[in-house]
Amino acid sequence: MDRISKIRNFCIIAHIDHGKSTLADRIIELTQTVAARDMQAQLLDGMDIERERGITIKLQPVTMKYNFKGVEYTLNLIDTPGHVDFTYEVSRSLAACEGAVLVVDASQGIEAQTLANVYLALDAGLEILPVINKIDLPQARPEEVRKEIEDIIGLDASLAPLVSAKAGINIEAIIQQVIELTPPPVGDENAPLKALIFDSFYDSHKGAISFIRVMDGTLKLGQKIKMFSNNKAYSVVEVGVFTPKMTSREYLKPGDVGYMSASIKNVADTQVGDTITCAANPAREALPGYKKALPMVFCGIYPIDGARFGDLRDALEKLQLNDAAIFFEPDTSQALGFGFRTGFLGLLHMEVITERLEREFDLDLVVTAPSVSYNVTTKKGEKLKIDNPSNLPPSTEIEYMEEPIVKAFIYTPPDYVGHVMNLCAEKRGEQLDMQFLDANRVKLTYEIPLNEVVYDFFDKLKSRTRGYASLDYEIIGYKQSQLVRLDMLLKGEICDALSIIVHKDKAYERGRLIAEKLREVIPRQQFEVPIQAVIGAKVIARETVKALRKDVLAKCYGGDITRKRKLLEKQKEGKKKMRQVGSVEVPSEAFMSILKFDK
Amino acid sequence: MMSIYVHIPFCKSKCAYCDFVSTADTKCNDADLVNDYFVALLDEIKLSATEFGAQKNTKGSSAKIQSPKVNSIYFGGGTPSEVCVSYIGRVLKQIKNTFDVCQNAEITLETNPCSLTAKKLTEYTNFGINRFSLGVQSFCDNTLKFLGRSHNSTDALKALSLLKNVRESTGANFSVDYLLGVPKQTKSDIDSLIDVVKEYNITHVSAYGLKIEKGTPLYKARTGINEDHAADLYEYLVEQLNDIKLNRYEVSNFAVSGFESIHNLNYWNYGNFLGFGVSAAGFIDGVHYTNPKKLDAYIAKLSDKKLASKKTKAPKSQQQFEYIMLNLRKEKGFNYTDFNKRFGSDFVKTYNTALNELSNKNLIILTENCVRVSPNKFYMLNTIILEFL
Repeated sequence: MDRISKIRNFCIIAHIDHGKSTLADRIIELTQTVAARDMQAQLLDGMDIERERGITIKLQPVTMKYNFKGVEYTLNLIDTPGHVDFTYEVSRSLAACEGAVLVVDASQGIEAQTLANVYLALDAGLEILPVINKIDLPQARPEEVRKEIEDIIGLDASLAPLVSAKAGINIEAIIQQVIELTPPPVGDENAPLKALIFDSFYDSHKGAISFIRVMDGTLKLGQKIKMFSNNKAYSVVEVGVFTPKMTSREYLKPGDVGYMSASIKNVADTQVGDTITCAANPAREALPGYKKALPMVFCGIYPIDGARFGDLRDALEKLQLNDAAIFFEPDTSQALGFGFRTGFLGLLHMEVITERLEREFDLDLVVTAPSVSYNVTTKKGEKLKIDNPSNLPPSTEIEYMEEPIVKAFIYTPPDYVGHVMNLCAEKRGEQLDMQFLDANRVKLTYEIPLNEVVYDFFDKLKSRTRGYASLDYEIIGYKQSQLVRLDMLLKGEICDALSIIVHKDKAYERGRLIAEKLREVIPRQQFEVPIQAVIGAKVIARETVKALRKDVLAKCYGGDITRKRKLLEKQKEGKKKMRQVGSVEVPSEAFMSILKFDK
Repeated sequence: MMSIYVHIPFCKSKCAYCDFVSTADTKCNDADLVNDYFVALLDEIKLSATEFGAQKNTKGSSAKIQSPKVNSIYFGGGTPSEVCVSYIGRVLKQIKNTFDVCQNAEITLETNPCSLTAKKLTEYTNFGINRFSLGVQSFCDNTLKFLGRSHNSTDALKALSLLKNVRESTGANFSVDYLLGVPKQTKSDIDSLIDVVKEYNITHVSAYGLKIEKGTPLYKARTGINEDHAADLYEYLVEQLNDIKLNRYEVSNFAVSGFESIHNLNYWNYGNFLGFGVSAAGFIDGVHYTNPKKLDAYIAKLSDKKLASKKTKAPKSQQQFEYIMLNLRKEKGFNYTDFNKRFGSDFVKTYNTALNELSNKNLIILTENCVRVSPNKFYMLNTIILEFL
């Protein structure tokens, strides 16, 4: 048997919590790729935050050996991210595989995320091997789930192994199916080099390291290569495979999955989806599917301590080395001082990055309300892209505005269909389709403005369906819309960091909610603070924080001195975190509290 | 000069807003516990003599250390008038044996209306107690009920008559404690207080804002305090008391000139004081002392004949802040040449920015050698003090 026929490249796709990472661990264990003592649960999820949240963002492949019927096979497992924000990354890692193990939870069945990724895998032409997991749980209903897979996705699930990744039941069957059912890769090692980049990370010694799948040709140590997207040329310093440690090799051939470093200073030059080819003998065309990562959700990030602006910049630069999808540029807010306008793939991406900034770099941050990128056409015919409400020209100068629209797929038990439809209507959604998939599941398809999705759609969906509904979405384009900028005035002064762009019909309600919230979070000051929500010159909501009158009438006797001082010290600490808007002191939390409304 | 505070943690019943260290009725009736406590208390006073080098100069003795003179003693609680009178007498005797108590020292006892009798009052004055602080809190029965007080307004008036008689016969004065900001409290409640002050010729009133402390029944009942309500009542009270010559001399304390509490003024002057009893605090020359908050821990420690207090030396910057924090509570503020002498620093220079900003906003009044809070800005005292931190 030739080299390439003994290679199987596959990935695992699953809904969050359906046991993908645990299954990956079991497979690695079974192939003895990692000594038992080095096994740490969920090996592939490298970062703390991923492990804590049980989600995978980064893709870390692993190469394993497995003997089956007297032949030693090379199995490359490529892990995939499990969240809507990372659909593009998922599609690129799928493109590096020939097969996908589809993990479905034996009690919960198929969910939106599962389906979204199955469709991606089908689009990529992958052989899909369904596996029913968590069969050891008392509420498992494997046969119903088997039928669900056949009915909903239309896959033949008759051979689907019943497994428990957690208990290590029937894992061998999965590996054997991967070998028997996944087609081996095809490729010509004498053709010009084509290698797909499906991820990259930054190493402080070696520079950017690309995770690659060789499609055609041979990638050799010392070879001159170039990137298709930007024509930049490099010399290969190291090639190798993941065992799962990086282990260097002389070359990688078609079908191989591994890594390459070439003294590339920035991960932005090893974009996911790009094609590496040979500089001397380049391939005629790139591999299909490359897209430049485009940020969709934007927010302002400011250090609470203004002196740490430099630290914040360094931290963002470091994170960007590893994540080309992060966008940032310096920004100044009157209220919040120096900071950055940052762009992310989606809300989760934004949350993960801000959390990493706070945790790994020990920064205290103010994060403003997320915004999306709007297309603005002015009366003079200029086309602008606006992702910061403060930069929106006055309404008199605007001819029209467009906002990004997503196609949202929502899966919910039938009992909650009414709630979901109401929610979508509140969020300016337009129903495209409704399918009763089976007795327990309805699929709703809507077009919804992304602006509404980034606000509180997901939280509300979860609360109104008691957590049962799941959501997936993709951006489908821009639509003209009646949008206005809503500003908040504190004692007559605009607080730029609180401005938002909102649909005309929503402005009144949002303005009232924000004003009410601000009245709660802004402490009483030495003078009265009027809070106004305005559109242009029109006031649409007003609240007042009354002037401070007393906080001193409590007893202060001998025993209270220390207590009193500590109380004041605490107040002082709180004061440090205040932002000055004109003469009004606003706590940092105020800027974030407007993001969350309980009502 | 220094003051002594003695904490008596026993009460008949616990009020709904009280978070002071005290034990309610069952324990008050637990004679053994009360006895154990006073044994410990007397031991603490004795032991503290060695700790603070405060041996009494007995006639002809050659004691090397001159003990500081004690010019005020205060029995607080709890309700000191709830325990057997003789305990108070023994404590006072022990203090006088251990420390150099001035002839004219102010000696105050906190009382509540229900526990007072003419007989008790005579005994107290015989021990040398010359000032009583009566916990009235309100003259409105509904308010008293809400607060969980064990007395009603009739009880309070009876107690005031007793105190008035004692004042006439012995010269021992008295003060009343009043609470502000109780939900549903009205200005007419304050009018009743003013009437009583006039009728009984009361020379000292303390009026505190009701604070809902964690763990108290009012806290558990989610009682909310309306700041504006409390502030309105406070301003009205200040005005009304001022009209009858009781001037504010500290945020919450009002007196006819010459009847200010020596004991309390000493706290606000950042003077030295010793605290005896469970949870009591002391402050001597820059060192804070705190006793255990739990009764059994306090008694256990002293039964080993060891002082139970924890010492914390305050760094100079903290002392300076504490000085300002306390002294600004007084209507007169403080003379900063005194501050400069005490800390060897230049007050105006050190706090230049804060002083400029505060006087520009008319929050403080700065004269050649004095600083004080603007009389109508007392309700912003915390905000003002923060500028010095």
